[in-house]
Amino acid sequence: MSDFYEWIRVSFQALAQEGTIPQAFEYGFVINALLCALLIGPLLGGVGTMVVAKRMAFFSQSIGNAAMTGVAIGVLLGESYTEPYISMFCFCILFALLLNYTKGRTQLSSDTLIGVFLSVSLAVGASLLLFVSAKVNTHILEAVLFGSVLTVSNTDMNVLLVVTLVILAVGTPLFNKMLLASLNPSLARARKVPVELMEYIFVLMITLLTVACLKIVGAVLVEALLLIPAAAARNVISSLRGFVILSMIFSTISCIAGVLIPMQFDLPLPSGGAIIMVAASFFIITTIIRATFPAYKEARN
Amino acid sequence: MAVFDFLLAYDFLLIALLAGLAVAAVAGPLGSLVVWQRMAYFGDSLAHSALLGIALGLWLSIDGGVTTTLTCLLVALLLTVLEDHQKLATDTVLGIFSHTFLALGLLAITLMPGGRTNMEALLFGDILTVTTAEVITMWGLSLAVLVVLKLQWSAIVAMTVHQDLASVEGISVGRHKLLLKLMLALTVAISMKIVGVLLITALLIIPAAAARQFSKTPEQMALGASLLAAASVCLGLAGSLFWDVPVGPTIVLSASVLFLVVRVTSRPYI
Repeated sequence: MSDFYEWIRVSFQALAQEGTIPQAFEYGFVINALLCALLIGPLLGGVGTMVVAKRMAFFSQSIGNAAMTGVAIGVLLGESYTEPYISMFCFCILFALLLNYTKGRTQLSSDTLIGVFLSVSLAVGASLLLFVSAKVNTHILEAVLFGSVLTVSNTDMNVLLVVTLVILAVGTPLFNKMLLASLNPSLARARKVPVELMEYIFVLMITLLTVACLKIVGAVLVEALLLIPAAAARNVISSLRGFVILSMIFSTISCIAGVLIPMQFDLPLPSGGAIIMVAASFFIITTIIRATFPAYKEARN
Repeated sequence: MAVFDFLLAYDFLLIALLAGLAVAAVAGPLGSLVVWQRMAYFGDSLAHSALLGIALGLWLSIDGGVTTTLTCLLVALLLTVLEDHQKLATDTVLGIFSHTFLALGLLAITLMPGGRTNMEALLFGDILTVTTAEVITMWGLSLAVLVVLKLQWSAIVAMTVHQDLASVEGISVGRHKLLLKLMLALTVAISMKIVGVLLITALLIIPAAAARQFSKTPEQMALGASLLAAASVCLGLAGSLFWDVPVGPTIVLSASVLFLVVRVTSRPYI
């Protein structure tokens, strides 16, 4: 794979030197970041529609926080601090399964339960991460929380690519069933859709995605990129197909703009923050559109 | 007496302890309300907007505490208005705002002219740098919130239990909800220095969820949550003193440990 990435980088750099595309593309990391943005954008946008439909915003946030603990455990166990993927995947998957399992089996309301899981994972993650970062590298913390495109490596891109393929392979054929299971569980059961199983598959999908996107968007902000483009798309479109496609478009543009704008203007911004701000402006614009043109208001419901 | 000698020798610890207890006192009842009313996400949005408040204070070079408090109150009002007028699910709206505020605050602080601010302290708290004046303000605000809560307690609980019934009995639900949100905003503003932007919700929810386990009445739960929060503050300070770990996360971690202990040892009444 690394030869392939190298080939892309070299060809882009050649184009940049000729002056066909902006100067910024002379740097390998810009191209890496851009490739990641192109993968992450549509993926988060697409899955995000389901997160909004299923009202799982809070849930996906707690997975993002769990990833922080995953990073810290990985560094403590001796994985490299830039790519602690093994412990991140292991910990987050365990965490997600445990959370989903406990959700239906406790007298606490699911909001409180997720709140507790979220807070505990955040506290553990923060303690461990601050402890680790004092020893290894003080910049880990901000990079993990808010993303850092500059350090995207071939391994990161491989992980992202594999996760993308897995999610496409699992998610595309099951999309309709999952949507039915989340919108109307009784009807889904009557149609012999395994509702519980769908729930678990979806939770695992979010988990894989969150871990894979951590490098670019950051643990705290991954969930925002699941939510905001989808919510923005929902503001102006009523059909399901349009909702998914528009959400993908919004999210991809946000990722690309969020990566490129800070580099173009030489601002020391964390990539995650920039990406979310672009996405948020989409949301604001679509909200204004919906408020000013009553036709959209009708279409929404 | 050794404890007192110790505290007097390290007066910054005493101040930190007092500050932590001010927050714990108010975190109990408000945390319980957050758990009952399922406002966890709302608290999160407020907490994240506190970062924006800090950034604002830095830009305008006024005291961060003032701008944080004002920003939190304004955001509470804004969210209340938006919640009524949005058609998206509330948790989606709050999720969007919470992260937008966080990103905005982050960018504003990163782009500050003149050097980088200590992000860690803002995100995870910095109880050891609290000044005496701040402790007095914290206790003042905390007591004010507690007094208002005490006065309105029965109305707020009635509203929590059954909204329609409460409004039939002549309690104005909208006004009390707004009051609750404004009090939450004040709590967030004073907790900011203790546990940091990211952990405020944790300090509100975890003790309350733990206290719920052994409480029979709402008042018991509120008091129990306060006591558990106070215990977490003490444990967190002690832990960070002995193991040299940051205080904010340690406080929340102690709260989590207490939560686990309570869940394992006590039988639920509910």
